[in-house]
Amino acid sequence: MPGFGGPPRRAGGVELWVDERLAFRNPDDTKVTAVMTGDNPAATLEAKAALAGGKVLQELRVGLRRDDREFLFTLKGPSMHLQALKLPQVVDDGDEEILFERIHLYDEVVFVLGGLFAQFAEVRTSDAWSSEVLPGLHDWVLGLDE
Amino acid sequence: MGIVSGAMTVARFRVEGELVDGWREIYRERLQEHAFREPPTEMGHEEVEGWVEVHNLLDATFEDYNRWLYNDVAVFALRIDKKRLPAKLFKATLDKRCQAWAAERGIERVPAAVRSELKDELEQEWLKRTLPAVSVTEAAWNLTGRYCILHSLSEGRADRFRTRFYRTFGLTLVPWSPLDFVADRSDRVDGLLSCAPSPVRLGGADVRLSEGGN
Repeated sequence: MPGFGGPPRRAGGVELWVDERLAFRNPDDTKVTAVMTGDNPAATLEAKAALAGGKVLQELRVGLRRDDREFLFTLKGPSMHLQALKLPQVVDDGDEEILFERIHLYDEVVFVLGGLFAQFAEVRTSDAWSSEVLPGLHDWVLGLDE
Repeated sequence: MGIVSGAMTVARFRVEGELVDGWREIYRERLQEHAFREPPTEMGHEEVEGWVEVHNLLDATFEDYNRWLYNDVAVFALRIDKKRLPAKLFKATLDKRCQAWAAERGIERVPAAVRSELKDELEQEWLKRTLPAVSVTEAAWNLTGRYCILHSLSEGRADRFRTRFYRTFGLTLVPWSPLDFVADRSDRVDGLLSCAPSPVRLGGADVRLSEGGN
């Protein structure tokens, strides 16, 4: 995989959460039509209503913690562009060191996302998608999982 | 704000093509060849573009590796200059000049050819004293990782960057896709591509999820 050469690495444990913004669009358009902000927007009725209304995610603000490093970023559109990626400040001295560290931290985010996407791809292409995941999403939208 | 500091907003590209042997020296020469060069002050409306170093947009020599090459990551920026005249003020001034020209000759209307000539004169005059609008888009190219990130999500800016990148290095930038994450598993890629979306939809008394292709 480009950018992920070498032997397989394990990401170890990561914490992931939906941060303070979700934006939905209609499936056949790129324009955002519904935005939820504030604490835990993924749990709002509006987010469930947007899904129930056939909308899909266009922007997702995500928090990620790995070891003692915390990242915040927005995944944008089907290409999953990284927007407003906030990196932890690990090094604070020297232009060269800071830049090198920032590239390294960017690679770390992409590495974790790669692991998560691979996991999603495995589930999405398996029978479990229809038998477990979709019913689970269904229950979540209806509030039956609470 | 960008790759060097602040929050990053980046588009990612795969770099396709083989690195040349001795790329360190050769790519520096290529960057120098395609670097930004200050245009003469009488520059017109045309855009001028070229590579600059990220730490200061006035530095475009790429002499010092420590300023742009960090191990195997090259960091540089595309600078584009364009002069723009204030349209409303320009039109108002042109109208006044046309009126003055007509008054001098005791006529009511200015012929189109004369108006065009006066417009060109005024444009040249103003362009000489106008500073260009400068845009700088930072990029980081991981040569061994074979990817490049561009600090912009604008498609137009990406096209300009990709074109200049190809002219400079002879390598192609291909927009990255999340499917690249599973590129080593063709069954997964094919499986994902054949999956229909699974939107949630209202059906009957409660909400139903369509089953999608898989």
